[in-house]
Formats: sequence, C-alpha cells, structure tokens
Amino acid sequence: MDSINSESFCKKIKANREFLQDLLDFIEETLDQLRCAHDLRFKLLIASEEILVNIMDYAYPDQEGELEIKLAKDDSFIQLIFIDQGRPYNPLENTNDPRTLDLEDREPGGLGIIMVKEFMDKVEYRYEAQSNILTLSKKI
Amino acid sequence: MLEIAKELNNQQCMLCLKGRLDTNTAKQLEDQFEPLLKEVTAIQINCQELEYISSAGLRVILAYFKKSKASNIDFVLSNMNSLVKEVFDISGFAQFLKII
Repeated sequence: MDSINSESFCKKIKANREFLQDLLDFIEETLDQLRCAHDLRFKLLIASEEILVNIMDYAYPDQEGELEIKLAKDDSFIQLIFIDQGRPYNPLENTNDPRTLDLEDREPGGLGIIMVKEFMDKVEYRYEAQSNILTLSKKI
Repeated sequence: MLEIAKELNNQQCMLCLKGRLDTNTAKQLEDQFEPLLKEVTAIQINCQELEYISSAGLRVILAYFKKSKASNIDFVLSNMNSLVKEVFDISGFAQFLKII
C-alpha cells in the first residue's frame, strides 16, 4: 500500500465491548468516505465485527488493553489491519470447520472466522513487537 | 439497530426484521422466542428489510431452528436479499433451513 493513490485512516480505542458500535461506525463511515461499493462494505463490516468481538472478548483476559484499527485503500485493495497487545492468538489456526456438522449438532461458535475467510481475499496474521497483527485484504 | 414487528394469526407467527441482526441486537430476537414456543405452530422470519447479519445473528437463528424442531414448530425464513443469503450460504446454514 505504498502507491501515490493510497489513503489511510486509523483509530485506537480500549478493547472493550462498550466501544464495539463506535468502532463499527468509524469503519462504516470510513468505507463511505472511501466510496466503497455496497457489497464490499457489507462484507468488510461483517469481517470487522467478527474480529473486533474476538479481540474484545479474548485478547485481554486479565487486564484492560487497547486495540487499534487501520484502514487503507489503494487502486486495487482495501485493507483492514487489527492490532492488539493481548495474548498471542492466531485466529487462522482455528481449523475446526463447523460446516462439516449437521445444523442440529452445531454448537454456537467457530462461525465468525469462517465468515472472515470466505468474505476476504486474503487474511494474514503475524506476531510482532508483542502485538497481534491481523491484516484483511479485499479486492476492489 | 434492529426493529422487530410481530404478527400473530391462527397460531402462525411472522417476525419481520428491519435493520441489522448483529452482536448488539441479537438478544432482541432471542428474547422474542420463549413466549412464542407455547402459542404457535409455525414461525416465519421475514428478512425483507434485514440489511445485515453477522455470526451473532446466525447463532440466534440456529437456536430458533433447534428449539422449533424440538417443539414441532414449522420454522421458515423468507425474502432475504442476496447479501444476507450469501451469509446463510457460506455458513452452511442454507442447506438445512427452509428458506423461501
């Protein structure tokens, strides 16, 4: 995302459920500002909700912490980057696919990360400088 | 924001959803269910004005599906837009639920 046409936005907030809607509103407004198409916006918002809830519920089990989100767009991609300093966790390692089960045997859970993987073109995780860094990319 | 309009007719209930079924609103739909269990034989969730559904919303639909089945209640979803339908497709729900 180094092209001349790239634009980027970022926001840092306490990783707490009470700020979930604020963050989703920020993402939605930013996507509008970036003139993101309706179906792309829908998929990016769903993926964001799943990741944010995950971080807010599990990243900091014993203390309060922050999470940061960055949005960037260039000519071919929109990228959303989620950063937290909570316990190391790679959501992509969760390989249980509940879709192999009949609906009646399903337990709630595991669906969020499937939506993220299916709706995004690329999902990358790395742990760096005591931070979980998850990057979602969607082709424009 | 989620608005739920409830229509009850001859033990048939239609819940019309308007807005978003997500982490913040899923409980609103969940709370509608228990009182319905004893008074209806069929539930239709009309998704015509449902704009958005995340996995939190799917979890409530899953709970409705399971409880309806256990109580012999006919459970149907209807009129969803193509993006909402895509969420049901990729989650694998579409192949098990009655969607009209």
